[in-house]
Amino acid sequence: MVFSSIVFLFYFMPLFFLVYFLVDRRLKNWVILAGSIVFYAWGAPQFIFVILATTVADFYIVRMMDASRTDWLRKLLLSLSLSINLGLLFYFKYSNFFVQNLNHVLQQIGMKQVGWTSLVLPIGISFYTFETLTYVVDVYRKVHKPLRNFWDYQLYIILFPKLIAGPIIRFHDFADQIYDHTEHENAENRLRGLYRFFIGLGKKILIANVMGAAADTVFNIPHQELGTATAWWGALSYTFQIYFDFSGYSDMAIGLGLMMGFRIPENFNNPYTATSITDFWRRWHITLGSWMRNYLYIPLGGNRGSKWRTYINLWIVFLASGLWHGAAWGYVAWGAYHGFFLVMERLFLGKWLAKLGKASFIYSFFVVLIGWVFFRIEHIRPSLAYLGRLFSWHKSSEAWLPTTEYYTIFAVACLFSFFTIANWGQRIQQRFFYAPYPVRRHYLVATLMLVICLLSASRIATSSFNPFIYFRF
Amino acid sequence: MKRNIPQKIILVFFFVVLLAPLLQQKFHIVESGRLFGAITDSPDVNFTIRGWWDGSYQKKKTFYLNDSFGFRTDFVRMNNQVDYFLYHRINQRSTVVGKNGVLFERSYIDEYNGKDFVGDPEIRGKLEKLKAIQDTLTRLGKTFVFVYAPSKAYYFPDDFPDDLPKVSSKNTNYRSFRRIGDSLGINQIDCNAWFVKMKGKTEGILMSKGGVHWTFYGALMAADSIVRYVENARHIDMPRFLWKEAWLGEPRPQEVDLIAAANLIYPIAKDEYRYPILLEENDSLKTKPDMIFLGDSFLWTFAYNNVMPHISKNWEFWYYFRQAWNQDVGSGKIPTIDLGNYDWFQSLMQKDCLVMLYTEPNLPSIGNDFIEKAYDKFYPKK
Repeated sequence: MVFSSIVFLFYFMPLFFLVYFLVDRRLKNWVILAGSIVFYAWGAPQFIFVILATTVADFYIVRMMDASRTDWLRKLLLSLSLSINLGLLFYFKYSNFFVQNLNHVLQQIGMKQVGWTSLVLPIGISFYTFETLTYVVDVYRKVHKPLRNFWDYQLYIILFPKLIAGPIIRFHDFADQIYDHTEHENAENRLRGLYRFFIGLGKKILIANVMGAAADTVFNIPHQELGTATAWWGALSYTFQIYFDFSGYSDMAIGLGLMMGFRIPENFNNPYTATSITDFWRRWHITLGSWMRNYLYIPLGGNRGSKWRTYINLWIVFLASGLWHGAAWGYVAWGAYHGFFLVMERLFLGKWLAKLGKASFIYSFFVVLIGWVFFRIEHIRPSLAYLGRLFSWHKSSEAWLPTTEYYTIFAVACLFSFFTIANWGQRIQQRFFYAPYPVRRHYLVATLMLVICLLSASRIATSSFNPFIYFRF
Repeated sequence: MKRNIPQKIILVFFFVVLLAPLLQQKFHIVESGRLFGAITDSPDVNFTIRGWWDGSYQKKKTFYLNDSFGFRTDFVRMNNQVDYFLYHRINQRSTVVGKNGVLFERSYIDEYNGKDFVGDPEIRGKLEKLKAIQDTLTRLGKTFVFVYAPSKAYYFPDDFPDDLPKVSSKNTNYRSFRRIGDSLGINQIDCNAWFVKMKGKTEGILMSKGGVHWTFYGALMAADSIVRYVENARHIDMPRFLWKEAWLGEPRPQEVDLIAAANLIYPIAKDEYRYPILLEENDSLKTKPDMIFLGDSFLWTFAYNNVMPHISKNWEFWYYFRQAWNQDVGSGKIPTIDLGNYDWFQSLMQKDCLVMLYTEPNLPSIGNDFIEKAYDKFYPKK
């Protein structure tokens, strides 16, 4: 079930919150749990049992680990839990990729290929696997005590707003909220959460889908027929699509969480205004970056070793990040590409960019845009062919022409992507998202949100193009 | 207790808004309008464990809810209205908004610009077979005539939208059909050329800005030409279309079908139409030949307005050579005839006239297999 669907918007969401708001405080977590199971079971009935089974195993392994006083047993149980979770992730997400590549090699050397039936990827497995890992590791590191009972743990993993496409919530950031979230649940938070949900819905439906339709058309044009201007429109469209799609989803998740009193961490902070790629990764998919830093980069040694060791660690993290997004060489190339610029910025580029000040966002945006070509196409050779069209000055064909709607939404996308470069933009953002609202502002914002809600719903009612990009990861 | 009262009111309001479609679907609280056009709503589905497990239940239920949620028609109209207001776009398959409020089906503009041109050899191949059929029918004492229905693109060429500019292409299906048809001696009535020539000179409007087809008035003019042709060819006196007076009024639904199918909240302004009131004529002395009308949707204007029974005694309307209507179908005595299970050839042999009528975008598929099948019947391969 996707948030931007009629089933969710007009059936699941109002009914869920109607029950949730009406039941006694002691029953609220049970309502969330039941709602989350229904939510996931609607879209992935076969995999709900995979989640339930792994969470049972994890919960009891971690409980044993916490109770254990011997170091070797703690390490053994940690390894067991990590093996189960990562094993499942590798099995479902990477075995197709591994077998395909193995067969390619076997074919090259004239050997018989391995027989294999392709697996279906369970929705959201990359997200909930990372969350289960934070639980195991945080308890192992004694950052936080394990949860009291299994259903609390189940709630942490399966909480429907963030289950499928994040944000990735680290256990120690969330553990206490399981018990005290209802204390933050008041009319103000419920309303601000609802506003946030509608903002996300509008970003997804009114902006990302328009950009996505254009990107799909352009990227589906055979590369040899692609004109240079069209190729740039396609790359720009995808750049805005992926931002408004994913940040829209995160907004909806944060909003839904806030309506229940949960403080789900922010996942984006105007990433296209970043002044370097290093800065970009502090603003884009923040919770993934934070996870990678805490659970991979720092255990690898972080920047405590030599300069070159730090660079290697950075590359490893970004290769892993690429692979986390998808089992294809295009993602690996995308990770390596970002890792390359991060290392360059540490070597010398960062100093140059600092001199440019805010204007260096042009550099970051350009680098990121080029990177998205690998991400969108997923394979290296066609990505390079597409990049070739970007820089080869071919005359554009009529296979895709921007419409008035496209130009309008493109302008809106540019405005909302870049307006915080200006100080006034930051002030507006601060007032809108983080400052307390006087009653008059509530009326104003509520009216705006009603318009966004109705426009989005009317668009969903007539549109068949409604995919979420990050569901695949 | 008084804290956050405005927030609570706003929150309740939003939940009423979010719950309203569900409540409307269950209880039909208010009358919500219907949508026009060819719409197939998905049926509801019963829950089964198996259906849930393989995902088919969720898929079908989602389709059903998408099609049936309360106020859906209002949401669709709202979306269409916003698109029309902001982008001058009609969310109806292939409809484009031209200048001066003229709506076009895209295929008509493409034909005008020669984008779907299939080439002279293919057209000649079809028309040579059609000429052979015409010759055989003539030998059998039957009358054949091919009618070019008018194309809106030729009628309103200066009103094309800016992003679909007019191209002066000599290579269009219409021009090639006319030229090759003339050279082969095919009996033709060119309503397209006549409509363009008479634009603005007739008492009533021939083609509407908001429809795909001709107006009722335009259809009567075309029917009158067909009657005159058949009269001359068969040396008979057929019933004519007599009207007492003309009055201004709202267009008939078929005349503004594109406006209706746009499903807007505030429909695009419609023209006022001059309608002839047909006079009942004592036609006992007139001859009504048995006729077959084969063609596309332009013939519906004849069918809806009783043109066919007015001029023909035993008539049949073969729609795209797929389905057939006659007097019995029209009066509900028998269901629509599937031409695949019908002895159409015998029927053709029993009739006096065959009128084939196609509009320009449909010329590449002229006859819809009739030409090939009739040719094979008349000239079987040895």
